[in-house]
Amino acid sequence: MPIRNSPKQTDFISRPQIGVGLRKTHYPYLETKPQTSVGWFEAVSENYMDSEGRPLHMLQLIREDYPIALHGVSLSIASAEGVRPEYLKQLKQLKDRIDPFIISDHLCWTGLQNANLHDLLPIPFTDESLRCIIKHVDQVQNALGCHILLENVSTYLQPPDSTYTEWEFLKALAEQSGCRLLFDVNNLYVNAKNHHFDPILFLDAIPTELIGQIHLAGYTDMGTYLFDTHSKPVYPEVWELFSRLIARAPDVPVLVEWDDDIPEFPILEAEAQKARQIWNDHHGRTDTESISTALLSSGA
Amino acid sequence: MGVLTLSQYQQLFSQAAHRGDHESPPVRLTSGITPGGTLSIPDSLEVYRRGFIVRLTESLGEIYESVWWVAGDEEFFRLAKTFILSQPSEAYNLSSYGQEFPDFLQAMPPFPDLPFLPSLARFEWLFKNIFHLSQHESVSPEEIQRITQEGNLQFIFGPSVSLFSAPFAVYDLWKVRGTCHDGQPPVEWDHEQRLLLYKKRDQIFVNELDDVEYMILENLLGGSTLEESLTDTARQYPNLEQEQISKLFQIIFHTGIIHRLSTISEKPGAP
Ligand SMILES: [Fe+2]
Repeated sequence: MPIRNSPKQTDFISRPQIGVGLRKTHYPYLETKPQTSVGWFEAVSENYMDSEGRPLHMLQLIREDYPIALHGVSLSIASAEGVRPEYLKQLKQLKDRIDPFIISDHLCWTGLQNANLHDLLPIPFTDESLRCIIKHVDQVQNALGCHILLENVSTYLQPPDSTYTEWEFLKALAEQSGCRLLFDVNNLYVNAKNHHFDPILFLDAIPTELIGQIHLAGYTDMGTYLFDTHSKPVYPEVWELFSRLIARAPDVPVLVEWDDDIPEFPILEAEAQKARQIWNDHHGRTDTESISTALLSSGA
Repeated sequence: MGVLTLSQYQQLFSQAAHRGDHESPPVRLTSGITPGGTLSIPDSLEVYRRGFIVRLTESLGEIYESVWWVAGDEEFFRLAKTFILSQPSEAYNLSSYGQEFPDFLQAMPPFPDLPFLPSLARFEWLFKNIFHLSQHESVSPEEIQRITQEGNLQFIFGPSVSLFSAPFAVYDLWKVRGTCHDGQPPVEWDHEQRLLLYKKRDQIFVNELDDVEYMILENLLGGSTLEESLTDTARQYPNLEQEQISKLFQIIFHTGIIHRLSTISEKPGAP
């Protein structure tokens, strides 16, 4: 049952479109119901799926005041073994409880079902992968009764035999499966550096109408490669790419992620404010005028 | 060698991630990989192998916080890595991984100074599970009066209500987790402990029980009626006194662990 008297998708009309990731470090602060400048929260689905404990109660409490996006890490949509029915069942149950405006996961596999690595693992960009993922997207969307968003992930190697570039694959997937993309600008930048391509090529190749959400985060420079740690503020190079993207995608909800070395909530809010400022610079609207038409038409 | 199918690639990748420190990743995989940044091919795979071990170790460390505290970083990381590489995760949710860790500790060569480690781990797994269970409404004070009049009542406890017993004082150890110690925790742990755990107001409560209380509650949780439970306990403890029973009932009422009362005819399978 959806929570009664909670903000619905349409409340985005009067809300700023920048959200932040919901993390348990901030529960005690958020429990006091402070006034915040964030428009919505993104919750990691798995933290609330198999639990009747405090995390779920916190999510329900926050849902009373904010729209929620559910962002999973365990769907393993690109697994050759398929998507686990028990996972879908639990996710559907959480969806019915929380009434999220977006459900997303990653374009990756996470390990074998009997040997899960619990990581966002790279896939070969081949026709076989594409067919496999399209089939799974269809299955997931039917089970959940809504569209899903899939996120481009940071990778540290390229698997054998790819015949598509990452951006060609993402575009083909979204066009052919009916899912939309969660465009992580940090992951794009990390991959551009790790795999030696021009990020603008990727950025400009994805049509705006395929993008359902944007992620921003900070990486760590490991010396020999960039690592997607979500432990730092967003880097200037990533802000620049974001600025270029948001210029043509004014209605897409934006989220700032911070998962390690998590700062106090006001610092996270300040990072979200930077995103809003860039958005304002391009579109000149005030915070409260931002209308997420993309969301409203997505049916998610 | 031909193109790998998606399934073949994923099998090989999994093998590479689960390999031991001195084993090489499968050539069939490495021959086709393009490493990121300025990494070598093995190092690019090692990013994922290391990440996997670190991630699962962190998850075990969160669940088995006291085991980690008492064993120390070096020993806990060694144990966790051995466990992770020998016990692949079948869970989709990382927080469900590690149920077999107490048995793994039990099967390890004994820890002469820390013989309580497997029991402590068992306690922590139970504690984690209770954290995620739902809470119940306690039976009303009026309803509970039926206990004094009807002997053939079955007690239906809340889903979080659990009993735990160990040959060591694991709850005392758990309570002092995080404090400084030089190999031996600062608490008297070498005695048995019987515990009642339950959840209320999003918090987990732990009550220490004596043998008799534990046995009666164990019977009640197993579905025996109060009459059956007391008879059974009196057989093992012929000197069972009314005072002991009264004390247990004070605990039961005070904790609110009963969700509802059911007459014996409602027992599953009963006509
Ligand atoms: Fe992301």
